[in-house]
Amino acid sequence: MTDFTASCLDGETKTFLVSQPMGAIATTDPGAPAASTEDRIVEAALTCIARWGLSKTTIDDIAREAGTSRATAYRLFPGGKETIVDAVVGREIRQFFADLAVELSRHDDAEGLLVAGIGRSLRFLTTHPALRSVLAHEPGLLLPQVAFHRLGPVLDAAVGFAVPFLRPHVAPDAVPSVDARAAEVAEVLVRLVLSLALSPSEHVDPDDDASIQRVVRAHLLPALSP
Amino acid sequence: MSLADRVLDATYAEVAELGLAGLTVEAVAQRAGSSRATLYRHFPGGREELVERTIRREVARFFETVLGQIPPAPPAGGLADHLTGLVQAAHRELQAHDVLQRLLLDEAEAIMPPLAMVQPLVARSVVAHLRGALDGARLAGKLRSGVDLPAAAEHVARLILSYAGSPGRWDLTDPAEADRLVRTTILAGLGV
Repeated sequence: MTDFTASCLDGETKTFLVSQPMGAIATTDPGAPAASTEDRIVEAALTCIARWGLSKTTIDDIAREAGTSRATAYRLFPGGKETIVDAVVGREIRQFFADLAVELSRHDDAEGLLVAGIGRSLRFLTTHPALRSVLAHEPGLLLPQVAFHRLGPVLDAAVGFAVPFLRPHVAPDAVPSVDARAAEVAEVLVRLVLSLALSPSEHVDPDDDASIQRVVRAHLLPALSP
Repeated sequence: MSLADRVLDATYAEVAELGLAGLTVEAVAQRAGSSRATLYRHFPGGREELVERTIRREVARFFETVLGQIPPAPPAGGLADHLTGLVQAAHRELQAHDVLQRLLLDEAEAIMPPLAMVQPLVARSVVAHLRGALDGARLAGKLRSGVDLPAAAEHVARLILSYAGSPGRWDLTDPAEADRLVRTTILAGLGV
């Protein structure tokens, strides 16, 4: 069985996330040249997973959906389905964080930053078709990657991304230090987003920024500057 | 002991010995001194129902154990002390739960879906407990005025469950660090 996200946060992607200066992450240029065959295969895999789930998707399905041959798919992804799925997960995560970085850089105030960050992350996680399909029908493939001891690396990667955005808003006399406090608050944000994405709330609606703003004001701004 | 209790004990013992993959209704019935037919009368959902109800009973026992070893909730005790005890004891008991730990290590793909199925129930009871605790703190004058109690209880419950299951950058075995987590982070904005 393909391990859906095992490879996504412990290799290349994690290094990418924690090492890139934020300005260096650019969103997809809409004027970019037409998609390569690799891109079309990755895109097709995403469509197939959303439609049939991860276990049932075959490399033939993916090749057909991409309008290419099985032989070409294997030539470009010698590891077969597993390699394609790794590429899908890596691409979706990089794209998500790149878009998020652009969105967050528009906010100078802590409240706006937190509402935008939580809102955008939650909407991504609750509406992503392939992700929701796996979560609904094959939860055993996904949940172990974000629970108990496996959550650690996920938290580290996301915290590494969020800290530069939060640091300017941490109280200068923060304990134990500004950097450490920024990481602690970033970690709360990531935990909260994951929790809300996996179990819906009676009080927070991903599509209602006012409901997110209430959480930010009640619990998160006070954590930044007590 | 009721048949249902004997069956759930047998399910737990089977999983503890053989793991989830090896669990059969037949073996559970035999261990419980019952028949397959009788077992299905009481547990029409079969194997899946056995697993889910066994987890539910384990969770209830788990929280009973945890709540039995920590300072009382407000108004009898302090809110931060109660929550520090809660997150520390829950983390400690999860780590010490050999059967759960082995399942997470060897059969994560199989154990997570039934755990996720039970999760809403767990969340609901933790939220209800925290609502009582926050209300107690309010009565004792230890809660900031204007706090939306139901929303705050849900928020705190999410965080307590998250940290207890995966402590991340916090060393929850250190009482001072657990106390700082609760006061500065989990209860941020709630105290007076």
